[in-house]
Amino acid sequence: MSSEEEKNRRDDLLHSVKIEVKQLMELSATCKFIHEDNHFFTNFCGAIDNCFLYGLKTEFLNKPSSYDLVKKISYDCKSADEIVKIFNELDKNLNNNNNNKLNSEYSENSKSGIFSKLFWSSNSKSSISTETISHYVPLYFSNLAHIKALWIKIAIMRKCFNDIVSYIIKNASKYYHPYALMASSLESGILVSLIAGPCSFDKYTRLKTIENADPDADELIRRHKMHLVTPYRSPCLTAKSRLQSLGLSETNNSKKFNADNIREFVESLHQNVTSQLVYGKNHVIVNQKEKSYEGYLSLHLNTNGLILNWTPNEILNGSYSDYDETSKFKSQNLNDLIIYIELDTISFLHCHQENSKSFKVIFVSQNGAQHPPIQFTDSPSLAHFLKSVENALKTKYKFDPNDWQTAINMNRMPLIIKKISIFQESKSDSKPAHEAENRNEKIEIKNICDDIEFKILTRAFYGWLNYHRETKVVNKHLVRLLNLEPNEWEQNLSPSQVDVLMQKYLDNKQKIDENLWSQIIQSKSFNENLFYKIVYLHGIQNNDLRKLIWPYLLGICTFDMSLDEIEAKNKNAVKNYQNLIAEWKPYEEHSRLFGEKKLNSSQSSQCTPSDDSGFCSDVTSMSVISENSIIINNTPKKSSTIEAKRFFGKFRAKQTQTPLLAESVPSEASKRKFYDSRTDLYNLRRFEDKGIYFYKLKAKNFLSKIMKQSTSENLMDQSDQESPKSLSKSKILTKDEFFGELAQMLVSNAILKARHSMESEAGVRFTIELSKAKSIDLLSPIASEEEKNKSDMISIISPLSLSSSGSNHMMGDNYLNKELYDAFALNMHRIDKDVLRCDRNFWYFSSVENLNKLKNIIYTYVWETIEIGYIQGMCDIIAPLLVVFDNEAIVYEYFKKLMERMSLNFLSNSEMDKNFSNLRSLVQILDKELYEYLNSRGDQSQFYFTYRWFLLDFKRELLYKDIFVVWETILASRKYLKSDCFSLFFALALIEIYRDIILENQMDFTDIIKFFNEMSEKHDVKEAIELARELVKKLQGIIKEKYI
Amino acid sequence: MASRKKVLLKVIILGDSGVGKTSLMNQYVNKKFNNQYKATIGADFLTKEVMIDDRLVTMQIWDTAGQERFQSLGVAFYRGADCCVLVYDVTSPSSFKNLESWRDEFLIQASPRDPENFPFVVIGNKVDLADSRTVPTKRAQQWCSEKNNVPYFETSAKEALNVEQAFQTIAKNALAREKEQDTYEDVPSIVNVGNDQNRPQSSSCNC
Repeated sequence: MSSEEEKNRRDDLLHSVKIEVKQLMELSATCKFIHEDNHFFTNFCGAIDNCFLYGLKTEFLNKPSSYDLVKKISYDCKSADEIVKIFNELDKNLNNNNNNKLNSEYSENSKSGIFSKLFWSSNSKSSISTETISHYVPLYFSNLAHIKALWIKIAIMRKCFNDIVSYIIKNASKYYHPYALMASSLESGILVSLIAGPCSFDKYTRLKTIENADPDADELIRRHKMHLVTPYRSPCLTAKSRLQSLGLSETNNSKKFNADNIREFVESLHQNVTSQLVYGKNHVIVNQKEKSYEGYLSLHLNTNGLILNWTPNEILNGSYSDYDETSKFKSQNLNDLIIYIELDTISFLHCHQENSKSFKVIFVSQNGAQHPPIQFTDSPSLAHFLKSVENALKTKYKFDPNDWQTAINMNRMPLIIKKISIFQESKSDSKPAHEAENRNEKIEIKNICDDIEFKILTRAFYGWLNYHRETKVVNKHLVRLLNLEPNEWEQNLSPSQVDVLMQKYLDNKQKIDENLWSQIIQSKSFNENLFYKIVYLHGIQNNDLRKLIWPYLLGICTFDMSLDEIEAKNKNAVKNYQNLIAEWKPYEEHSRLFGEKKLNSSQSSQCTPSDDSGFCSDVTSMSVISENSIIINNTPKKSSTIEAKRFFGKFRAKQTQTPLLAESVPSEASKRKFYDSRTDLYNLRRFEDKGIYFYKLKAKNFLSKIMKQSTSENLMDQSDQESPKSLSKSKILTKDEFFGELAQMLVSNAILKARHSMESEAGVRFTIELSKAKSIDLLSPIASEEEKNKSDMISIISPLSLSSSGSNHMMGDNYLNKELYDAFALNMHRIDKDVLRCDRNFWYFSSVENLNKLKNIIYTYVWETIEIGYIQGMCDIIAPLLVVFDNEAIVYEYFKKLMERMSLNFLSNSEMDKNFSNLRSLVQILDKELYEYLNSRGDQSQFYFTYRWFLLDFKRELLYKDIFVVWETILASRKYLKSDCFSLFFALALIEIYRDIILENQMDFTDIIKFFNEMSEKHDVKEAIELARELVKKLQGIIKEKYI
Repeated sequence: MASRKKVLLKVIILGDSGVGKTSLMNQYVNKKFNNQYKATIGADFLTKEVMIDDRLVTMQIWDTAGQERFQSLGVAFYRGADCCVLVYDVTSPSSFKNLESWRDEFLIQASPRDPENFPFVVIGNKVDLADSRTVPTKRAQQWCSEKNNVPYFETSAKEALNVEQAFQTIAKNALAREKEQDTYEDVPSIVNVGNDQNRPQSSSCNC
């Protein structure tokens, strides 16, 4: 390594320390406490540890670890000695704990006592609950020294870290190569000053404070990785092992055994029903492959009898678990070292003494094979171990010689202990014995046999029962999900050239690229399913290709269509789309001018904002008008009868005022009334929203015409010609006067004046409302009996209306449908709100132009399905399509197609419930442990956290680049698997990826919701999608097993 | 003191879509405002620890979707709530008008014990948009006093105006109720009551 590189490396190390310090300082500024398990703190210690390790002279250390260095200097440095003592004590304590377990008596008190003494001896606040302590035991139970940088944590928390660092720096030349960071006075100086801050905190705590009581999703995942022993236990394996127990599938050998074994080992501290820990010891040395390894030795009693386990420390600590390729390889090797012995297969135990510090025991199998020697440091611990073995075996076996214990204690070795079956012994002994005894024994044996028989039968029965339960679930829910034989058609007798090429892509796991696509599209005959298979398994290379291929996946185009046909189809789509836009455009324009929002802003701009009454006289007079029209609109509605009655009561009471209004400036009383009427108005609108249409007018263009007139530049000229008086008037008058005038106009039927005093929007609105009123009036014959009650009122309005219609050429087809308008306006309002907040951080939607496209598409869709209306989430489904196709008409077409399937989720809860229940069944079959956990946790609502997943096909959970991949896989799966269920499997995969975290942290309904909400857009989609495909295969396998 | 059990207060935020429920929650919990929050679909929640009368409590604040279409999900989320926050947009009269139905909806779905005294808090959000304000304070205050003197706040999630105060009151009222319940009822039985009463009313249940 050149000095240049060494310098760079040192800089890197310092840089990473800097980053960690910065983050830790930031954290400390916001938190009262920093938990010692906090990942920032852990990372910080890790970064320091890396500095320590760089350039460390390894010759004189057992292992190249910073802890060994501390051990080394502990003879001379007091602080280091303190740390080493703590570690030794902890180790001892843990061994004690393990030994305590022999008697399966686990004294919480003594344990917490030791821990609290250790950590709080200086500033004892010893209020540590036993609960918090036990939380850490699994973490520490193996070799403490091998938990990377743990000593640094403890040293910092005990405030002796600075001493140790300065000692090391002072003596750096002794322990470090000259290129080391610690050996450079400048850089080590920087390091010391960097860590000074974080080391001086009083904030570190072992207590689970509230601040870290609810760790976020990232934190959970980090912790999970820290504790993780096997990279990820595929749920498929668990499914398989379950099937094995049911006798459904062939045994899968040692590989699985290893993975499961490790896990069980780690969990063994928490004894469970099926496995009892009878012995456990740390740092037991085993010689394997000409090297000696330290590890954790334990004995378990389970259904397989007594099991001996030994696992190297490296695996337990996960100290290699950095997830790079090399370490994976290493872990593979380490996994081979694991010892697993079923004591039933052992016939001899050889005990040897090599020197005063090495006592070995070798297990010899019935077939003579010897297991690697297990080494103890003194004879009592060897005796202790053997005693544990003997005790655990004593129901079935005994040791010969009987006095082996004294032999070991007297160091009479080598010693061969024979394991003798009690039955054999009793048989051989019984020959010369008396008849009666013989009979007794026979009865005893018979009883035992009966007992065994009974147990076998019970197990068989429960196995059978379980099997049938599962079969029932599969039958009832899951068989329909999948088609069994998606492979049949793959055997094509005469594959075409393209087929061969596609097969090649499949074999090479290639995505569909331009080359393949151009060949496919040119080819006349090829195997379509092969094509879908590639998309399903490997996907499409880029968005340009997606543009071309998705129409086929969606089923809008088929491969037998010619390019011309497709072209025509697209043209048609564009035309259709444009027509639809033309239909709703007038409504939008009208709404733009007179919609609630506009109205509001125009109102407030005329009011003083601080005015609590909030409404000025101009508004009031206007409201009377609009109120009138609304009343008429709504009265015939059956559903709103009561509302309407109430309303008319009010109106009548007000009637006396109306003439006044018309002649004079509105009074205070009418101001107040205004609000009442307005709220009623909204009430009525709500009724309308429910979609009761009692009349339909066809004319949609009327208002747009008015609107055009009103907005056009020519307006002035026009109004000058038509009513110069009114224009000049409206310009001169103050607002109050103006509206007084307006009211007068109402009475005197001076519609034109109002219409052309267009500078004020209120004026326009006035006109519109009048014309609306009129349009209703035309319909009044269908109105119900309330009509009578309000006939007097109508008599006021109708003359106006008639005259207005006469003078304005607004007859016949030229009206906007009021009912339709109101429904659509409400939807537009909602859509606008959602469009404005649709993925604005994504580049595509940062442009207003693209947002407009999105808006147009939804408007059009909602226009077509107005009786359903807009539902939140539609934006999210259109957005990715728009990003791919960037063409409104096409996207509209495709969205419509997509919604054929997806709208079910939007519309009915039963469809969503079906998804939940299917997912539930899948979990039940494919991950029983999780299923039982979730079941034990509560009610039927447990899968609600997947609501958004299904509603939006995971759109909110994933980044755009991933959505494309997932969506095309879902689309292709419908063709390839001939089933609609891939999204279910993808959901299952997302759950399975985090199943260990869910189980470890005992998450409940709310925790899971929070976790997945926080995980959105952070999933490893590649992993999830692969797992989902695996799970599909898995279920296919299970279904096949059950039926074939 | 140390053995006191951890108090969890469940708070539900309801109101029309786009009135600023997510923003309020994020402003209160994370002290952040972002005008690009996506429309909430389903439900989400955040937790925050607060000191109320020398007592540390965890508030679990549930943000819900504003469209009625998702209300059927409510049963699962409303259950066991200690306080319900009704939010409207001071620039949108319809959102104010709908408070009534949100309140009714909540009482039906959550069916709390003693619904008359269930703690609600009303928030008029977006007061920073004073220019386009259409719902006068008096009107809102009047409505609140009609509903058994519901506390009323006018906030701006954008400018962090009054948000802290509003949520302090929310926490206080929720805790008051919690204490009340502690004295004569165990938590599990509350859940059961909620369940049983909900079943016949829930239209989504078709099993």
